[in-house]
Amino acid sequence: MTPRDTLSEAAWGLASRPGRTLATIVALAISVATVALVAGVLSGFERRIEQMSFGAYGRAIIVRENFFVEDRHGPPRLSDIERLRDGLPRIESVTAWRTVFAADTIAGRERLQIDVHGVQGDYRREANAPMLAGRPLTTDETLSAQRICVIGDGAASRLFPEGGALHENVRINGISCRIIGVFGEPENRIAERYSSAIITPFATAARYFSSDEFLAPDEATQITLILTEARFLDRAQGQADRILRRRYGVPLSQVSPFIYTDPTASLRSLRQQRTLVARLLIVVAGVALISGLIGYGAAVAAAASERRREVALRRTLGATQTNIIVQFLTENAIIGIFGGALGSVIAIGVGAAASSAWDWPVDFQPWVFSLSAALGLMCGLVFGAIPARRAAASPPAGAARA
Amino acid sequence: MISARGLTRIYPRESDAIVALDSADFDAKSGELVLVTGPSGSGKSTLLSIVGLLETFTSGTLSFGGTDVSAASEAERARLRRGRIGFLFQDAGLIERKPIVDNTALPLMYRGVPTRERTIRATSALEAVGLGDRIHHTPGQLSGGERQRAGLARALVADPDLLICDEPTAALDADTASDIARRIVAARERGAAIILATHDRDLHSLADRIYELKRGKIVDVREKSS
Repeated sequence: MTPRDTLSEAAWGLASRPGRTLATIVALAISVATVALVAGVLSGFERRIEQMSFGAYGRAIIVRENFFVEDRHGPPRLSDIERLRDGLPRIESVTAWRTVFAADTIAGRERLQIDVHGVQGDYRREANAPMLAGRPLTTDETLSAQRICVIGDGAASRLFPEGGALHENVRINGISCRIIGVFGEPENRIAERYSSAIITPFATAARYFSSDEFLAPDEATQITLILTEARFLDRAQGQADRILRRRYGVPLSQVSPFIYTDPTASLRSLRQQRTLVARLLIVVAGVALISGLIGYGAAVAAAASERRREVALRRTLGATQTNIIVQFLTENAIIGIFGGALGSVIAIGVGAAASSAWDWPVDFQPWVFSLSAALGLMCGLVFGAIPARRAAASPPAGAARA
Repeated sequence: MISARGLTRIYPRESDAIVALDSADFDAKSGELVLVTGPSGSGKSTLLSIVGLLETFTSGTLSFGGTDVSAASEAERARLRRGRIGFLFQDAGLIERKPIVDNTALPLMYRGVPTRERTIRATSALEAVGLGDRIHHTPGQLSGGERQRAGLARALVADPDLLICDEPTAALDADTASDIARRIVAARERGAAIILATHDRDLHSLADRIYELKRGKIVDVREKSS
């Protein structure tokens, strides 16, 4: 019996019972679709929640002055940036921030108290927001003292209620500054505060807008260290502390002049909730998978049982047990492949519908479909093997006695 | 072709055992028509299943074509079935939902005959039994006599050395039964040994040998008087 004959007989076996074949494929497809959908939803939500909640802050350390230390060494200084960058492995970026709180800001007839953030470095890793108009500050510009700024759309809409903030000037604490860009809602929750603020170069904020007599021109409100991966956070925090203690001559026996903050700490509970939801979804998927597979296994076993007469006839005509087993396994492999493919299509369809209707961030990774296909094929083979062996083992004499 | 000595088949049960065949001696030579008769439950089907290598036996010896197959493996018996034995059952034994041309071609498929050749041979076999215009019909679309003719075509399509027929006319009306019986007997001219379990006394005159079974034992053997 050639492989082509086996395939042909398997195809006939399936086509001759279209209702049962379709039901079996659908049962398997639902299981596969549930698993693929849950994997896609979890992946999508994981990404979005991470993005919404933390962004790059999920792997950031913020260094601030420790106000509870009497011997004043802080705040951190711009010159600390290079030391930290050189001394810490796996650093992605270091950004210094100098915040002028509630600066007196005037645009036309509007006058508001707005926070102005001076920045040096790649600030967009933290305040990652789409530009609605104009352009962001370049890294070179953040190193300069040009009187330029970008403004969040929240602040822009209040200062320029009739629109058109781009290229206009605002007066901050009496000094004029030109708006070169308007940015929208930041993509993570922690950075939302920037949408109602103005961002300027660090030196501009220090030189022109700051009225803070406690901060020297090179002193920062905070320095943000962003690492390449979150798992290095604890170790990097210790290393940063050692670097700054050495710099300022503070022994380990004394309280550190700086505090190191994990900006995501307040959102830990959100992460725990997410984990719980993920586990719930996995349990739901597991139950659906098991239920579907039980139905599938029962359908396969029933089909094999119904076909004992046919099997006995085939064996009478010279089919070996191997011929029968291979034919049944081929049928189940076909069901598995079609079930996996249909399950993937269902998952994509439901995912697209949920994404469209409820804005679910479904994110199907290529491996999900490989897994679905493999799962379908594996189920077909595993659940088909036992009935196939049982059917093949039934004596051919049954054909004569039926 | 077939030579059996002391064939015994016992089906064990929890409390006792059923002796379906008891020390049967049986022979069928090439070109012979051998009838097996007896009441229901006498062991006819068991005897046919054993000599057709469908079933093993508890004791005795069985030779097929001069080779002892008493201890042959299932794979070896499957090889002999597909290569040298044709079967015709009371209900024809066709696979439902499968066109009769494909049903007829099955023995050839298991012998590894290429698709085109087996379709030609199956069509030819069906034409020989008068079903040339119905080759794409499924068994469900045929009458009882037509199904039996299709079953006979399948039994003969591979030119077997041994044709085993288990009460093939029992469920047919008299005319159709006569037609089927005539076609079976005609197959003897191909040189095959034919073993036929039947109640039809009209066939007794054509038989070379008649075995009569009762309660698993061969109680009478009648040779054709030449």
